[in-house]
Amino acid sequence: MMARSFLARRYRSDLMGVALLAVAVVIGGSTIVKSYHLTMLIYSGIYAIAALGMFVLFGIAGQISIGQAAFFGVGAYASALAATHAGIPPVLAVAGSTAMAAAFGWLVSRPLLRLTTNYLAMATLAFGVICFILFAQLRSLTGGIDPGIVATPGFSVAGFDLSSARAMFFVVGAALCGTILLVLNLVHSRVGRALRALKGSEVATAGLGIDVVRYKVAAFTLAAGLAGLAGALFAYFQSAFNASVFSVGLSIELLLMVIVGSVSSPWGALFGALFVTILPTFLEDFEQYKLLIYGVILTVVMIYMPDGFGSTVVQLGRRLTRRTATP
Amino acid sequence: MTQLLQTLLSGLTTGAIYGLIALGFTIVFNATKVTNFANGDFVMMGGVVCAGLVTLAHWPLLLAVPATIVGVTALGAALDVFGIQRARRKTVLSLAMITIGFSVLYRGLMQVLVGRDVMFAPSFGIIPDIRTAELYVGSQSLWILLALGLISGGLSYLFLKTRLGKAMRAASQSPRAAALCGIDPRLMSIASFAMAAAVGAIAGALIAPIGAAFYDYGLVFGLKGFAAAVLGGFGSPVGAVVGGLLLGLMESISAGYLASAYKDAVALAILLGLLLVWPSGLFGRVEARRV
Amino acid sequence: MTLVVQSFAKRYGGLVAVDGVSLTLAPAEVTAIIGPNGAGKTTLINLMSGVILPDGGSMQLFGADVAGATPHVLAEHGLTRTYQSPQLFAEMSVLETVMVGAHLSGRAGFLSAMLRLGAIRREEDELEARARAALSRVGLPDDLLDRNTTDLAYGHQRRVEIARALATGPKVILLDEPAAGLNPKETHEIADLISDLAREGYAVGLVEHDMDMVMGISQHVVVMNFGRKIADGTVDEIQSDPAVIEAYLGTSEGEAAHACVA
Ligand SMILES: Nc1ncnc2c1ncn2[C@@H]1O[C@H](COP(=O)(O)OP(=O)(O)O)[C@@H](O)[C@H]1O
Ligand SMILES: [Mg+2]
Repeated sequence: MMARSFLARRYRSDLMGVALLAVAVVIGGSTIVKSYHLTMLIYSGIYAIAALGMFVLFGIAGQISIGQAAFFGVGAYASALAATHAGIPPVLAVAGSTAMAAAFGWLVSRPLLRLTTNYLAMATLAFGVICFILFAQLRSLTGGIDPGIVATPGFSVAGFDLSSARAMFFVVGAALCGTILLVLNLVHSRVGRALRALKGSEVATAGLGIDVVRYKVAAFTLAAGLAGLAGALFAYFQSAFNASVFSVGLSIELLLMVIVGSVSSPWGALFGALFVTILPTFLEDFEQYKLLIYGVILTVVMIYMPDGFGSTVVQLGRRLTRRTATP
Repeated sequence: MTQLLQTLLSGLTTGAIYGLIALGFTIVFNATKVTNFANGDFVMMGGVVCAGLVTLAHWPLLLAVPATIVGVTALGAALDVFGIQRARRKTVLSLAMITIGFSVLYRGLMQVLVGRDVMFAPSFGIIPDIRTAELYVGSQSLWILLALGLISGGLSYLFLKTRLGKAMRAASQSPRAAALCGIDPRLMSIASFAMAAAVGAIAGALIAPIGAAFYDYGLVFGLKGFAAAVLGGFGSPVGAVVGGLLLGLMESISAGYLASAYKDAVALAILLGLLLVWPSGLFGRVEARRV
Repeated sequence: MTLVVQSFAKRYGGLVAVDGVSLTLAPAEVTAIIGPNGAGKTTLINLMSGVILPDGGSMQLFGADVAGATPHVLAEHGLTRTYQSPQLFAEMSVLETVMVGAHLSGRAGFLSAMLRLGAIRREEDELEARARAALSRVGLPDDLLDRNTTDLAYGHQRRVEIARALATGPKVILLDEPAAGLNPKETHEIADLISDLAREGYAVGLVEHDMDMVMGISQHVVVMNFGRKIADGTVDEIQSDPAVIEAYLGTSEGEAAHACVA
């Protein structure tokens, strides 16, 4: 019997990765002292969850969206409002907002996904801006830009208060581990292969009996749901926020996280989220040069590393090890 | 009646700007098949640089405007030379991503050079306002309409009569055939980005006195210009101008009925609607992919 | 009859790419569709596989009316194809590419795939076994399975496409110039593979320019020119058909000589 092939091997090493990530979360959560560091990692984790959704949509299925901030916003507002006004328990609120964002995504995906490449990019961009305008203008619901959402109650599970930064670190860490496990399972499945195939050739994929539209819609829905989940966690962690968070800037950043990380591996989304979240804080000292430096770095990555910074590093590593292995 | 006429005139003014931005998209797309997400930033830079030169450096307008055009044109050419030409992967999306990167870079550059303040540029003057009992057309609006006329006329001449323009059209229709005829596609690419940047810079310098100049305005300019281009039929220069004017008219008419905060949303909703139900627009044609 | 096409038509602007073409494919037979470049062969295949919609005409697959059906529905009904220029998936290994072909024999959906519930592992094993079987059926060397399809030699890419099509478990296979760009030895092997497939019971539709190959392995030949069907019959009938000879003489003498001599 032929041993289960390289595919099983790849899946196993991805599972190892999840285990390592879980260990890293536990160690990090119990040893990191500075709350600033915890905070940055929490934000990275939250964005990584949304970026994983973007990875499914863009990295795997090849469908671009520059409007993910809309779903992030729906998740954030839904959970903040559910917690403040309806007093719904946080876990339920998070689950409900995720479902709501996913449902919204499903609703808009059918018309949007009739478009491809640049048209899809522009249409999702326009969609994102429209949602941003609505977030900012529907003040009775969202508080607009000022005052926004003032105080979302802290996160808790079954009465245990988990609102401290350290507790939220574990909450976000657990959500992230869970999300990447789900995405990895997807990648290594019939469904994931179908999505990768339609990125390569829609015509050929359809010709193999795969309902391309249905799969694209599902990928879009999943991406919207994960953006909503991230938004909900964001609302609980940040407590006070306003509509300016959900501008096009966030949509572009989520896309960048995938591009900077890797378009071919979900691990890239984690790396990209960390990179895109942390980099600006390093540039803080450069004051007005910040955005310029940021732009230069992004541009260089996009020009020279179209598969992502993460992928390029991995490829380089592989090439080096191969060279040493076969002299 | 006069109220309506006034609304239509102001719609034509903004519409002319949208038309110019749409022309920028069209020129680049036709020569390179790239959708330039930094196109709106050319307009933004036109406004910011010009306003900065006049208000901060106290240059006379007569000097500031040409300097702005030259500067922004150079920055547009740089996007092609350092970005598009060097791209490791030249798929439509990868190239679009690079233009998004440059959009961030341009905004950063403007922050460094001019700062983060909203700026107000002086009107061009010279042309007098038209003021009758019922009607008022500002001098700057006349400049804008004049510019749209001159630029579309100039571009038509360029594309229909000159060697460069003919080469650019040939290159867009069949890059390989054009290359065989000795037309350097890279030159066409640089030329298209430089031209789009020049047109954008002019539009930006023209609109800054009416609106304002700010490093973050590029996105909205870009989206509306793109909407105009789609309305006219993406890739058609005539469509770009007509689409821009129509979009400006629709926006100014709807502004009468809607809170001004939703004005931008209207143009974008029009864009979405068009993309979904009428992607070929007024003058466009849809190409099917062959297998 | 497995597949019956009745007066299919397709216009592109003023050009009639396919003009009222009827034909039938039968099980265990190779039906060749030949004709000069631009005759409308690929367009006909595109119509039959649902990639483009006909402006007129109808099609029955195992008696069911399927004109206007989308490609994935046709694939579910057992019709699959390959492409004139290989449509492989970038950045995907050979094995996975062919596993996409086996997609229809799995059932995991989004949720069960993400949760990796119960039977998924077994299903994955089954899909992989199916893919491996299809790959060895087309004679692709085992050591290529983990390579990216787009890195393979052209001849191997063609085989992967055929394997991917076979993995769907089809009854009808349409091949659009499967030997284009291959050397004589590879062409010979592909020809053997195709006639073996017919012998196993598949209904094969074959678009091909290599007349030795066509005349060697086809039971049935349809000749097209300017979008129309100008002849339809056995190899012997076609070779002595004056309309066919004229069509080929009118376009390319080399091909005509081939058609007549073979
Ligand atoms: N998508 C399309 N748009 C316009 N014309 C097309 C299209 N597809 C094919 N054609 C035209 O239809 C005719 C038949 O083409 P095709 O079916 O590819 O021929 P063959 O495969 O026999 O060489 C050709 O003249 C071709 O240019
Ligand atoms: Mg053909």
